[in-house]
Amino acid sequence: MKRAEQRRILHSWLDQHRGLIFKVVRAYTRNPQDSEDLFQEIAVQLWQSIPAFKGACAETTWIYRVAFFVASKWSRKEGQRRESPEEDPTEGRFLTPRQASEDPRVAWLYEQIGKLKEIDRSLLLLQLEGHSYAEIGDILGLKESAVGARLSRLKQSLTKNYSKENHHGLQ
Amino acid sequence: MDYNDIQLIWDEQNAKTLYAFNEEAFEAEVIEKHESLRRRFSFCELTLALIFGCTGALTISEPLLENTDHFQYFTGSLYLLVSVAIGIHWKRRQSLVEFDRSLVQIVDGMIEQIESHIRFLSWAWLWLALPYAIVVGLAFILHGDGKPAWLWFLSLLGLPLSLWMTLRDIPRIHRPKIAELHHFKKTLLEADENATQR
Repeated sequence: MKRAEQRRILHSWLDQHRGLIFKVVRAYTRNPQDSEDLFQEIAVQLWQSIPAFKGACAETTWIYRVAFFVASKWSRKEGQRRESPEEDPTEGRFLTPRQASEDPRVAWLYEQIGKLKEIDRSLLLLQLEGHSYAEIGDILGLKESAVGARLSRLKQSLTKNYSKENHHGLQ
Repeated sequence: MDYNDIQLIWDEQNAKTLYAFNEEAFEAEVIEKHESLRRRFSFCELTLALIFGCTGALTISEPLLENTDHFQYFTGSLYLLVSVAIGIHWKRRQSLVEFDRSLVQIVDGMIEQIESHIRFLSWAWLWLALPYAIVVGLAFILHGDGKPAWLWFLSLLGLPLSLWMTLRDIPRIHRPKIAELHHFKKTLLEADENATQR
């Protein structure tokens, strides 16, 4: 594959699917510096994976797999750093968070997702993004029944936590 | 409050921008980062292949030009074979991780790839130490007269040194990488097991 073509595909993927990558990044990190690092790691892996993409699965499926794979590896590697999320609040070179415009309820949701186990984070994120149990199972390599059972518990727990905290007075 | 309300809250963010993004600079950085990593990984293997290749070619060229010492055909061929083997291994290592499969299968594939690399390195005594020992041994038998002892000592010192350089990455890099991937696979599979048990 020619480099120009590879570059065009990367540009198109980042342009069309950056929203989903941002959400994965946001769910796995707690400060702008980490967000930028992880976003870059995912993009590097995406760039590397382009020649192997033959269209056997949907672009979004491919990008999710890359993103979750890199994010899971990254979260274990950077575990030490995540212990002190406030240490470097500076803006990244490429990503500038728009925290001011973020709904506090959405921020609360990301915080809840961030507290979950790796696999549960991916499951809940995919469910919130509107994927079916079958699609989620396909992306992660789990049985549809396992996805359903686990998500059912996650949804219950999330709803219970939200009601308990009566977050920001919103019901 | 039920899950549908949470879903509505989640969907609201789609209309907003999470990050301002300097796309052009970012893409250039990503490509450069990938290229520098690729260069770093390839450098060692290709240098090794080049050294063996050049040594092999030089060893063979002498009897070819001067029509003497046919033993050098054998040693030169060994060097060239090793060079080709390293080159083939480098080429195979370039194979890409394919995300057409599920995450569990991708992790399995990566574990397999690293294990194959470890197997290749573990056989270094065959593709590195044995040819080396044969060449030094035969050179000693055929051309050993009058050569100083330190020369043979230095020649033999190269053997454990090159073996150590080849094998040291197994416990330092490859084994921890495999352990990390197994851990990741375990967390993925736990979801399946837990659901089955319930």
